[in-house]
Amino acid sequence: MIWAHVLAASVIVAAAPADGDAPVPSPAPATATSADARCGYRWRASIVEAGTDEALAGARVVYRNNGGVPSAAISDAEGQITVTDLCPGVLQMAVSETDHALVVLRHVLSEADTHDRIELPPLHEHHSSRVIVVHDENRGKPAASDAISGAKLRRVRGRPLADALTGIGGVTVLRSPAGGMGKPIIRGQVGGRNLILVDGVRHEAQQWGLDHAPEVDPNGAGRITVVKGAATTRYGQRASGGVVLLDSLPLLRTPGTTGEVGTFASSNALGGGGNARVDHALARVRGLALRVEGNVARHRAALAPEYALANTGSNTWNGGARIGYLRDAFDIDVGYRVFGTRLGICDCLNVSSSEDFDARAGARRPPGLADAKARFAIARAEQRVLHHLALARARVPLPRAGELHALYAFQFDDRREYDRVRASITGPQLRLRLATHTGELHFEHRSIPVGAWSLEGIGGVNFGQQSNRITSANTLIPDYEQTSWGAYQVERLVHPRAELELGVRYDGIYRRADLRERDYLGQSVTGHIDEANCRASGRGGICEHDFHAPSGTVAALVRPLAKVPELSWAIKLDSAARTPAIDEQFMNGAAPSFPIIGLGDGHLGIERTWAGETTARYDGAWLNVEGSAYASYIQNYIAFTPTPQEGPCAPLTCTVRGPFPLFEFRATNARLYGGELRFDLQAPRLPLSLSGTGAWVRAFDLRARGFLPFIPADRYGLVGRWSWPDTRASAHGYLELSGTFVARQRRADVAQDFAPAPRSYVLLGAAMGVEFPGRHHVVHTSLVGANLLDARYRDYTSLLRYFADEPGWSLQLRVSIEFAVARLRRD
Amino acid sequence: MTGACLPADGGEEQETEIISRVTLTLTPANGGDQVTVMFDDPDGDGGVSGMAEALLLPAGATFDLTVALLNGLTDPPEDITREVEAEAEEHQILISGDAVRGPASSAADPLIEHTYADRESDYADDSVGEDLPVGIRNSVTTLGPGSGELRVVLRHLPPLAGRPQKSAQVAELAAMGQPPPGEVDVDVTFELTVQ
Repeated sequence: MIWAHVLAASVIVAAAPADGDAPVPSPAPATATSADARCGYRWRASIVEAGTDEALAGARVVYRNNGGVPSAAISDAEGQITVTDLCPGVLQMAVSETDHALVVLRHVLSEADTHDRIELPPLHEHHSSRVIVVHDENRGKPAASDAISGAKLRRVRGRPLADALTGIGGVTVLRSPAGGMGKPIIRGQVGGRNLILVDGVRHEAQQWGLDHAPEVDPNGAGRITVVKGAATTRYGQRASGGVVLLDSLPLLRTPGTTGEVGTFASSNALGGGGNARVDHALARVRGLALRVEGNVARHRAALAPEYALANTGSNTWNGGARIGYLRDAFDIDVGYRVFGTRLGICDCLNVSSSEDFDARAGARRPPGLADAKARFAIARAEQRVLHHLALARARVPLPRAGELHALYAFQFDDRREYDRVRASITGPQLRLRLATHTGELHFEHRSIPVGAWSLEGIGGVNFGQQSNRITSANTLIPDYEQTSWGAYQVERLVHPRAELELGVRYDGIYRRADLRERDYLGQSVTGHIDEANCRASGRGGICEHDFHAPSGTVAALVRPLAKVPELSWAIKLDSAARTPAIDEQFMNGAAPSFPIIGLGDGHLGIERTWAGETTARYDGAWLNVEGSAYASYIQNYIAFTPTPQEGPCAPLTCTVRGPFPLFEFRATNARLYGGELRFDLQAPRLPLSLSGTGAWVRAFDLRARGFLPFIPADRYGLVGRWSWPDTRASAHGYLELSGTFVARQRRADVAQDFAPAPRSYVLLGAAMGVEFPGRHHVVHTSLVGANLLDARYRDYTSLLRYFADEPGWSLQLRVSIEFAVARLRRD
Repeated sequence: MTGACLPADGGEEQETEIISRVTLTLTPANGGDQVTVMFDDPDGDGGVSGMAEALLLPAGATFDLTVALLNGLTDPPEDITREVEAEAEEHQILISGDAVRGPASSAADPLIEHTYADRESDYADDSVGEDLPVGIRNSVTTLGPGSGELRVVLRHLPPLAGRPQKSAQVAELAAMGQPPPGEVDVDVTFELTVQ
């Protein structure tokens, strides 16, 4: 019998223990006793995953008998839970498990012994019971990864993707001067070496520009996972440095309506916005589920402690809809999502010549910004982007074989960039349109017993077709068409004490670049064209390149002590291939945001990463520690290096705007190594917790015997938290204080940079939050303060650092209501 | 298949303000042959360096100097001088270098003396009212013999926060070696020999 008011998503009390946000009463073992022991009623339940009926161990049940003090219990290995010594009357329960949506139950106890079956909807995509999710990177895998979901994700709502990830050790932001956006840096690797997957679809946009933030809305995601280190074998091209996976909440599988409506406001940059999501599953047509979601945000230009960062305002909006037909025999769903943004580029970055740049770089106050006001209006220079994503997915369980998954997606990225130009010019100076089709088919075979071990595996093929059109009077990168494909197989042998993983992949990519006459002739004269693969055409020249490369992974995870299953140790070796990106092959022009001329090289070949990493982890009841170390050697690492020129402007090159430095993409060999350390300490029986992170990266250009640029400095964070007890009206209340220390990047080549690395800095933050559960809804509130000491600082990995300080103190307030209107279903 | 989703190239107006060629025309005030030199960067912001021709002038002569700006990257080439004239209140050409003495340059040992020979009202409405020089038309007098550099800078000075950036101080700042406001649209240097 099920009495479920289903709240799909991690809601109310006891949400997502992995978040560390769960100040629930200490869970008792599978059999719990009520505070009021006089009545002797008993309630038992089997907790299973909806759809697969798999028993869920470790699920938490927080319950209140007749409005009394909440208590908690936890399910055993068979998913069983027993609560004794209850009194007749109302029993309210919130049942949660890390990877499943929370279910809220209200039960009227009228019999002395009641047994229920509780189905928790999975937060990951649906799988049949015969397969184990191989690609769930969330836990217990040899690869180092981290995920944010539930309450933790809710606290970063309204922030751009890269910022939402910065709480994860080893992840920082390469901040662009446009509207505070940025792209994630994973273990020192950025841009074309990181892959972003949105609902399994490779995000395809103009990744090459240093100031092009990914056109991805983190607010639509139910969980964001970062895989640190090479993951090319499973995910293919661009995954040689790391992967960011954004997964939407699954559609509803049981009839009902759920959703969330929220709003947020920020003091710096002043602004705010709102978001809404409604999910509905029809009772009349069983299996038919719908979702509509959207959000808007508008921010004024940000304020640095001493001046306004004029023209850094932003407007963003997102909208999407999905419809699915979800049955046991198969699932199919289609969806569409559009991301729109308009970002102002800081007036402080208004650099038009090398001399201009030198005058501005390193100045305490950016010239011309003295009287600048922070405004909502956005003026030139600015970027406007629309990113459309349409997708269709299917899942078909095959009896006794496994499960087949198919995915097709079309993306269209439309980017317009507006420079400061003469008043008579109204249009964009650069327009980039990228259309991408992607398709993937993969098969997860059923678990095959091999003695005490079981063999799990996934194999698949993927295909991509891409077409880029650039409209600009200047040369920068050429139009191109690209076809790519890949095939992979990953197998894992799993034992309760150990796991072994072996994966192989083969990738191919064919690219046809269409260079205009001026571009082709210019690059031919300077020897940057690979003549063997290029030919003159009517318009200029055509260059065709074909790349093929294998990748592979070997990994192992062991739990060395039988008596301490919480302790695990993993090791992973990777060989990952990356083909040169379009800009690395053909860039020819002034690089965006910088007074430099950038040149690609058509002769560049495959960049190969040889990487090793090891992670030790202890997941105890009150202590959680994880340490990772990694090292990689990258053959033919493609680096953007300054190249002295001969001629009248030597060592620079003459342009009509004065002499500019010339940078070329060149192959070198690089070595990266580093580590991360994280601990979470929950004081036993006290509402206090302490967590800390540290991350270190070292990166060297072996040919130039120097350091690689834009590598994050050493970073340390410490968070102390007090969780106040739940009351009749509120739950999950907390107050926390955090500090971040970022060291000065001493491993930077001053000769190859435009300004010395900025000083070290300390940022102080604070946050508080509380939830108010209702019968059919939960109200989540949080107040987050950042840079509360109003520290004046610059960050080594921010493009703003040459010109201006980072924003000063800010407060962000978030309120959201998560609701569920469910039908009662009686089995 | 994807190509069908995209308009063909050239179907959209390409709006730019590229300048690829700067031409100086020096016409002797007392009659005689014109001297023309240019800086040309035929691939724009590409990897091929632009080149400036050398300028050779007789000593003790006065010239009318006009500056012409061209975008040679479009077909047909686009005359940018007209556009600068139309927005004269937001542009100023500064003539400087170690061979020049004038409003924007204070060389200790100059080879030429520069003065502006135009005003904003020669080209467009003078709405601000200061009627400042623009520098498309100038007067240049050669002094003693020698060689040095002549630098031509076009600064774009659009109003900032509603206030005009162009003022009489722009040239003075340049003469004192201070960075003037606005942006650089042109910054080219010619080798000058006066004999």
